[in-house]
Amino acid sequence: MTLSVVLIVAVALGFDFFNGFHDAANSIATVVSTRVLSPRLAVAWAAFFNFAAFLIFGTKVAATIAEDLVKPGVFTNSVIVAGLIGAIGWDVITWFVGLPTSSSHALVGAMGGAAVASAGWGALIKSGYQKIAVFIVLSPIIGLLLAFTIMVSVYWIFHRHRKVERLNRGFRRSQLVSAAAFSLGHGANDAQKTMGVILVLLIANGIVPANSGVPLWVVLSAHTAIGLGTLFGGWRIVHTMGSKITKLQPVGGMSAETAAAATLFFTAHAGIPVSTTHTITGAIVGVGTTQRLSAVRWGVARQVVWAWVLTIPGSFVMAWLAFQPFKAFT
Amino acid sequence: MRIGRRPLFFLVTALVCLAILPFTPSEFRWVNLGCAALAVFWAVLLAIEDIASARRGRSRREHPDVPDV
Repeated sequence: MTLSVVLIVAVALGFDFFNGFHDAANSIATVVSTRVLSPRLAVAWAAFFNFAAFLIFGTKVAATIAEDLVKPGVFTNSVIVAGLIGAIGWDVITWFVGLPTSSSHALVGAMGGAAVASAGWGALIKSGYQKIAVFIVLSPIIGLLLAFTIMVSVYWIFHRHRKVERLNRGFRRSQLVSAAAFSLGHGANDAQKTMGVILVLLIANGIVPANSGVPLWVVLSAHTAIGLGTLFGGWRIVHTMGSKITKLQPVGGMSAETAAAATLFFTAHAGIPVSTTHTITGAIVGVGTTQRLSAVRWGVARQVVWAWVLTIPGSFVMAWLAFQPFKAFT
Repeated sequence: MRIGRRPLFFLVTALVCLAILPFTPSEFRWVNLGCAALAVFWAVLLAIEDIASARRGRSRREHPDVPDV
């Protein structure tokens, strides 16, 4: 393995680390705000399940990133570096602006931009991008509808229950399970995107044969990076997804996390890279909608829609620009 | 009789799912259809709830002495 490959692997794992750093709040927001766990313990809980996801889920999302977006042979070290620069650059810019964009979509758009800069529009596999574009819209909707359905079912099952305090205690405890499930889904989905990038890098350099599975060390290092990112980032991020979109009770937190986790389990199983942030946002909107539409802060939901529209084209352009210096030298 | 915004919200959600159906790969079209069906289900139930509560409110205004059962 050459030094350049080692460096690119390190950058890809750095991207994964910051993904965990940034998204940790999504998993622990409700558990911390309802005081089920202290922030430090909640972060450790989420980080553990981010890491443990590799035991449960396969690597279908990684295969989609590696094989279904860009035609084989287009990926070179410079294309991958330009793609990573585009994705990280877009994430940093939108972080400054405060737009809740998805690192996953940024990575998908940026890899496309770098590939087009290198080999023209024919480098892209249309069906792969089409699948991802459709699920950019569908994944928050699935989260929303499932969360609404779970909330209404819970209300319906327990509406005659008189011991409210005891019931609340039960929902607080169940949040431990739902937060763990969401962290599993987050680990499965987001760590696999980095695995996909590392896999194409290894294939491009002839280190592993084309169409090979993801090597175990790649799986373990990607999950370790996202788990460590969660561990270091989570407790610093004070503003929570929950309070930003709507005020959540323990039952609402449990419903939103369960719905988002179910959505992420499905997409990870189907090999579709989706945004965990947008999925949990959709689920929290679904919980807020059980009260009334005005209980949802639609400004945040509107920002998510803008993030949908802008992320793939924005990161595409950034990676295209990042590739131009490489083009000049070849 | 006034229907609130929530049934409309779920109806629009169903329409979005159906609008992107032609672009969805064939093996995942059941997801669009399932989501649209669930959204229509909730839209109908919420509309019925809105109509029922509007009727309850009107009858309470017209007969203030009759207790609710």
